[in-house]
Amino acid sequence: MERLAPRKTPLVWRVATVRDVRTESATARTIVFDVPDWPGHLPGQHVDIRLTAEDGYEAQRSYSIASPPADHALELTVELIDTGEVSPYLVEELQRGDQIELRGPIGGYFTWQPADGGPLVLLAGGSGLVPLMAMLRHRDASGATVPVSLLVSARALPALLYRDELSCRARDGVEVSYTLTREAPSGWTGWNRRVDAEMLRAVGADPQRRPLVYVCGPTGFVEHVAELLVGLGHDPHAIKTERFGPSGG
Amino acid sequence: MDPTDEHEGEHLDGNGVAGILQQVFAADFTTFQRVCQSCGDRNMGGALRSYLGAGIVLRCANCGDVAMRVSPRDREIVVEMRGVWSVAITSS
Amino acid sequence: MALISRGFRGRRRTDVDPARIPPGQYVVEGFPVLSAGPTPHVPLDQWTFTVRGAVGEPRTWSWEEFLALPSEAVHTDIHCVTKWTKLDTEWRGVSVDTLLGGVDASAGFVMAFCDGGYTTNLPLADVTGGHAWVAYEYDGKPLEPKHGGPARLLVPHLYFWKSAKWVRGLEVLDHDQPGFWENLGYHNRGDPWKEQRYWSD
Ligand SMILES: Cc1cc2nc3c(=O)[nH]c(=O)nc-3n(C[C@H](O)[C@H](O)[C@H](O)COP(=O)(O)OP(=O)(O)OC[C@H]3O[C@@H](n4cnc5c(N)ncnc54)[C@H](O)[C@@H]3O)c2cc1C
Ligand SMILES: [Zn+2]
Repeated sequence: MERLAPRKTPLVWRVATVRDVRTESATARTIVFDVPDWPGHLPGQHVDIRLTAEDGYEAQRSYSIASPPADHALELTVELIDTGEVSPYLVEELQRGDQIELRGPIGGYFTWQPADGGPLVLLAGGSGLVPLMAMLRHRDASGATVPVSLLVSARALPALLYRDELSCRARDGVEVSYTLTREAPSGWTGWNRRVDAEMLRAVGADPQRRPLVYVCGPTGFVEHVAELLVGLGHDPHAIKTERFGPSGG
Repeated sequence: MDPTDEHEGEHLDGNGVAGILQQVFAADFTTFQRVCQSCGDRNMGGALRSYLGAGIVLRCANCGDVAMRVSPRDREIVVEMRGVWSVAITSS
Repeated sequence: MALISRGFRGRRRTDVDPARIPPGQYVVEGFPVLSAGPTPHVPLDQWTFTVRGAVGEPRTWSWEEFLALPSEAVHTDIHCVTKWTKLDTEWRGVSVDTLLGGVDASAGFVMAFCDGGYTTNLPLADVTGGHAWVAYEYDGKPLEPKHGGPARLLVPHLYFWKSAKWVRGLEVLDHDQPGFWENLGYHNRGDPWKEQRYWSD
């Protein structure tokens, strides 16, 4: 199977132009960028974003790439942290036509492509769904048939990302399950608690199946899930994690 | 999961600081292999834990010993590496 | 030249007297959490504070004994080498003068040592004379583990990496020796007003 390799291009700051913005949930939006000479990326990689105020003050953060490699534009999905410095700017201020600096793609460790095989178990907390979504989109776009089981944990229903798209993708070997850690609406058929071992077994995170496991989300979520996985008998080396920090949403 | 929940996150993965290190190595450090000088664990740069203090400290995920220290400054980046690192640069 | 991001101002405070801000710093509202490693959790009944080295007999205090020492309230600004400054912080702790009382003046330096293996070096002159404390309260409450609790060194006139979190003692030395960050090229003294961030500064 053909393997995508990131090209060796120096990591430089590029000026990206906002082509479009899309509301993704009550607290998140997707920003579509045009990036001249984008070298291409692997699903799971991220970019660094640099904002500069008029007096020269700078803030830098990382954001996972949501779009699959084949897309022409680069999409990021950003969750609003009320008290944050950068996410409110990206979610509430940035408009079509604005320009910001970004560099990437970064991080070949937390990536997946069809040649890596499966089955895939993807475990997402909050905005940790973003890089896993790029993997799922790439699987479908490349016609791969690797079985995928995705578990999405979110605070509440309005915070769930990509809901419609996920319900469309949940077929042909892709299973999607949800858990809400706070209030669930009446008639909710998913789980309504923090991720636990039983849930992980139910979504196929059983070491006997030898799945490739990817965990992404706020540091607390990743710590908790990684501990559960090791408790189920997984080799820690077989679990790939990406921590977004305390404020990863 | 809410960031205000009990388990306050204090570290990221090596992947989370890969941007700055890519400037240093001009290659993707997250895929470098490392054997730990303390516990012998073999893992990739992206699997290390990263802490942000006066500089960045990357630690072995297995034993917690220091794997790398990075000091990003205005005009230079100072890096110290510990353990045995193997770096595969494919020339294509 | 960096591109200006339309409408981006950042979250720092701009309403402060510039005379209070050392060169190259900006003022934050919150209290960023910085650390060189995981937060240790030592039960208080196993916690001790030790002064050892060029002092004759080492001295050790238990947590209870430590709290029984005379303490002082400290109101101060703090400055981190990563460029944030926080104004008007409130601490309570034991003056290092109290802990070192009677130490031989010929010994010129101390190395602070901590849970988790962190160290930082300081000239004796910077931690005596009412310049430094071992603080166990912040803002009227026990110092939180993420900010260095149960106790951290507080040397507010130097960059904050000198204010070692989770401090467990001071080693008095007759020669200077670089600590954890100092041996990676951070300045040996670290005076924020002289912008002494690195060896070359
Ligand atoms: C590799 C990587 C990939 C990432 N990908 C994404 C992504 O795809 N999408 C995404 O949205 N984020 C992503 N993040 C997180 C992102 O980088 C930022 O950390 C996030 O957007 C917050 O930045 P901020 O400037 O808004 O908040 P900051 O100003 O950095 O921090 C906000 C402050 O508020 C606190 N805080 C955070 N949340 C809350 C809360 N709910 N209530 C009260 N206080 C809070 C925090 O502890 C912090 O002190 C990623 C991080 C990494 C490392
Ligand atoms: Zn180790």
